[in-house]
Amino acid sequence: MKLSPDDTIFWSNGFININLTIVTTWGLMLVMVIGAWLITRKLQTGIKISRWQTILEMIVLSISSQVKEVGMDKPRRYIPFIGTLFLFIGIANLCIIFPGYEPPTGSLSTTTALAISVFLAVPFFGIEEGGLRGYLKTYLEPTWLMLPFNLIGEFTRTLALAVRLFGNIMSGGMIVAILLSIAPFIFPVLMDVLGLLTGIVQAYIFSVLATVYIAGAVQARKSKQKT
Amino acid sequence: MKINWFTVIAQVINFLVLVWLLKRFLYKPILKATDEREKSIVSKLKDASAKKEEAKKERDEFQKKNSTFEQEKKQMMEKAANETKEQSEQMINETRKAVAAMKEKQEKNFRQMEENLKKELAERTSHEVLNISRQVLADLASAELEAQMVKHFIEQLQGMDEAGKQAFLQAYKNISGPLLIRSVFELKPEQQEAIKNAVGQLLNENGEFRFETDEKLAGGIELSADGYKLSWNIASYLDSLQEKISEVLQEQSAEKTEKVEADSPEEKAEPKQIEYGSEGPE
Repeated sequence: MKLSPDDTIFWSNGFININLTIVTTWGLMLVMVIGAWLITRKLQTGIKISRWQTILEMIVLSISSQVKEVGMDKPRRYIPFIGTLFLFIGIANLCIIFPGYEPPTGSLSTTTALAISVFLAVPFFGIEEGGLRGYLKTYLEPTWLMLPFNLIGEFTRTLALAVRLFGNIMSGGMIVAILLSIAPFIFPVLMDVLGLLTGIVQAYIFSVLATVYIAGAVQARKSKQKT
Repeated sequence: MKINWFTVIAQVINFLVLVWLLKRFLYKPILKATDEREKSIVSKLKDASAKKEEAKKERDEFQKKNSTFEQEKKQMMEKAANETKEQSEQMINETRKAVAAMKEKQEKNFRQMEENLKKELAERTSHEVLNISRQVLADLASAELEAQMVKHFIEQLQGMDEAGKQAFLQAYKNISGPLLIRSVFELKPEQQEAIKNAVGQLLNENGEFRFETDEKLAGGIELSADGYKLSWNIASYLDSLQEKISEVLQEQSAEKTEKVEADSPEEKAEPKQIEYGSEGPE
């Protein structure tokens, strides 16, 4: 029994290997980009707009308002990163309704990659907002004694982010697989329904946590500027 | 449970590519569209509020104008009503005056007509009376009456006072021809002689005489010389009677005219001249 889609390898050449995770991700990317392009190529700015445009606008504006609620006063700068996190994880998790589909988020490699992205995005946005010195100073807050703890916190939360998503999604897939062998009818469907819910919840949690981390880096600098 | 580091790197790259692609194809256009819509809505709302404001302003102005117009209309109506009332009162007054004047004029005319009628009646009556008297006297005239007349004429000549005598003498001096003595019947020679004598005594000389007959005299004798006239006949009595009647009538009508003029002083400008056909003695 394969626990991760990483184990399904299509093509391999030494270090390089094209496995199911990467292929599924490409497929999802293709679908998302083409879908977005199809809808946004004929956007209307009037009062009357198409259904798909309404859905997309709703999603984008909801993300924007969520980012704002966390405490970012310029949500537009973070929407592409946080929004893509949410949409990618969400869509990847929702696609479990298709039979034979294995979500890329069920691979520790993918979740690690996303966590690393967040791990890199935090200093990126922090430096962009307050400069390198300003960002580095946040590690010395409230005193320089806290530097090691701040560093440990930085790493552990990235790890926790990766493992949380992986565990949830992988376990969901595992349970469905186990239940299929025990009770092939009804129960796997119910578990899939539950999986849809947890998938969306996980996407939400992941992106909100990422927002909070980025906000922490940006806001620490800002609050210092205020005082 | 292991981490495939190539997959991790590939996924990081995949994710970053996806971020860029979605930014390019999803977030930017969507946000742009919403922004534009928001802008257009804001501008439309602004426009609407501006229009509303303008409409309100126009409505206020209209209401103001309307109220002003109503007030002016009311005032003008009142003015017109007052003017009409005044005019109608004036017209009624004028009409009343005109009616009163006409009435008065008519009354006056009526009175005048009445007066004229009365006067004419009186004159006719007197005339008829005189004519009848003359007719009667002419019918009654006879030689006997003639003799009496001559006698009376001579007595009159003899009984003439001094002033009468002087007037007669003056008249006699002025005439060139003979003295004219007229009578209804032809005088007998002795009667003519008696008259001649009487006149001669008066003149202290024997004058020339011409005797004529005139039926109009209605019985009597008349002596005339250059406007002077001495006569005794019934017609002269009747003439003096007629003269007196005429005088009385004239006095009466004069009184009445004065009275009418005093009653309507505004008509003095055009007083009705009452013409009295007076038939005085010759």
